[in-house]
Amino acid sequence: MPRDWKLIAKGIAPEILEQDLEKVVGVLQALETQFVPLHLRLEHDTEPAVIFPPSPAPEEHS
Amino acid sequence: MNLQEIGKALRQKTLSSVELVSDTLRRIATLDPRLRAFITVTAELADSQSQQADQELAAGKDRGPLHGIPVAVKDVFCTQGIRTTCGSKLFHDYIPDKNAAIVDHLRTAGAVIVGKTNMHELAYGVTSTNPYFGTVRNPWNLDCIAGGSSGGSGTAVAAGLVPLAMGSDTGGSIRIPASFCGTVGLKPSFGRVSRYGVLPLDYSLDHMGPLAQCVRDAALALNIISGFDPRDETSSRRPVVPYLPVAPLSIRGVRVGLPENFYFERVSPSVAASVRQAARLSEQEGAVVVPLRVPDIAELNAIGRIILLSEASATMEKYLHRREDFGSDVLALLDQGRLLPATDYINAQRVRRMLIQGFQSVWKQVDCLITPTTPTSAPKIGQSAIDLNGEEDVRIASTRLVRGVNVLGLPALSLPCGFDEGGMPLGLQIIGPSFQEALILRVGAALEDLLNLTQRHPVL
Repeated sequence: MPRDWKLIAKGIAPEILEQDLEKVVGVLQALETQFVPLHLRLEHDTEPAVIFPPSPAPEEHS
Repeated sequence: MNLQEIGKALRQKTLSSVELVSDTLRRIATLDPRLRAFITVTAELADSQSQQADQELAAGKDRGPLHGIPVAVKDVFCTQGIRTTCGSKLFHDYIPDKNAAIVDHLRTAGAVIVGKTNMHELAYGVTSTNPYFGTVRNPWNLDCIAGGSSGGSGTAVAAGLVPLAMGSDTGGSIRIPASFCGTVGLKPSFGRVSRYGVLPLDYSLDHMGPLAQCVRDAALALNIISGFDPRDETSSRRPVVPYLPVAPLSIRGVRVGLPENFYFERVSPSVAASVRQAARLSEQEGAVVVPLRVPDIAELNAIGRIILLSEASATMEKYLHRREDFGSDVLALLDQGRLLPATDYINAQRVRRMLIQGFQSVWKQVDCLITPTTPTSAPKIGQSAIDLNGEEDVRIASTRLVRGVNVLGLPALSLPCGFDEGGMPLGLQIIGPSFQEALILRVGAALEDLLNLTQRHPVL
């Protein structure tokens, strides 16, 4: 089911003005149409491309 | 003159750095009120750096191919003690206490920094119609955009204000102005050039690189700005190799892929003809042109847009209560990013991994790809859409052939390949496997020699 971008916008602050919202809703709907079939193709165990590196080992104190 | 010729003149003492920089500053003072390529001109600093460069050369201290040569850097690179605005009202008075890694590399190599170039606000757009620092003009036609976001760097090089400038590229922001302004632009592999000290737009898509008069100048610059930097966690430890193509230049046997899908589907006839002609020329030099189908680039673009919308909005979120301080186009993009859920961002990064793996199949068939850089020549300032079998937003159209490369993190070079019927430059793009900058620069230099366009300059 397509997302209701205007409803989502109501929940964020600082608010997006109505006239500004009109500019973005159509773009997001089109992008969602492209994106949803793509992520449905993912294997369950596919990890994100960007993985944060492990923390450096703590320095040894003498 | 290219960088090697300027360097030779400096060493033979037929030209001094002081003379060269003085001439550069005079030319900027004369032309930039019309071009708006610069946000800040560092004349006093450049004078002192040029004097130092001459003194060092006289004393036998030679810092290399950029010694004494004027260079400009996009105003996204931090410069210690010099205002760095990112093309935004938000940072109009920001004075960093450090240099970006690129700036340090350039100074160590003896380059003279003459100024900070204008850009699309926050590096988030392709027109460089900056609401606070003025619209960058295309030197080939002042009514046309320079492209973006590194538009000031493109115009500064194309107009002959400087022989070399630095830019950043998150979704084509080096290659688009290179294509529109008739210069060379190189986006290296992700991790090749440090991002340290660059005001970020997108942590996983930002790349840094040169805009230059010719391919060999871009290669020289890449050797200077490349290398591991522990201050950038994405910086690669791969050794830096010599990038300058050396004579005799051969591309014999290089498998050049010419995509049958996507890249030529919605481009102007003059762009398609120029790029195909360049591919044919490469065959004359012994390259093997291989027609092939590439993975779906529209998918890469969709993923790239979701990642960019999400990361850029996260980066800028703390400023978003100052809505009046953003241009309307940038604000619309930031609002889009705020509405996307975190799950979309994570899934986009997962799809990215899948598409990167899928693209590996291309490199089993060819050594590099040749494509158009942009679907048309530079649009007019204020133009909102391009009509190629239907209207398409200028930003979406201009990034369509270049954005996917940022998602893949691959190196890509744009170089001039012709002019359209209106006399505006056209660009082609050479894409290579990760860290194969030397290969795409070699192919680019060979094509540049064959096309013989570097002596054509805009009349200003």
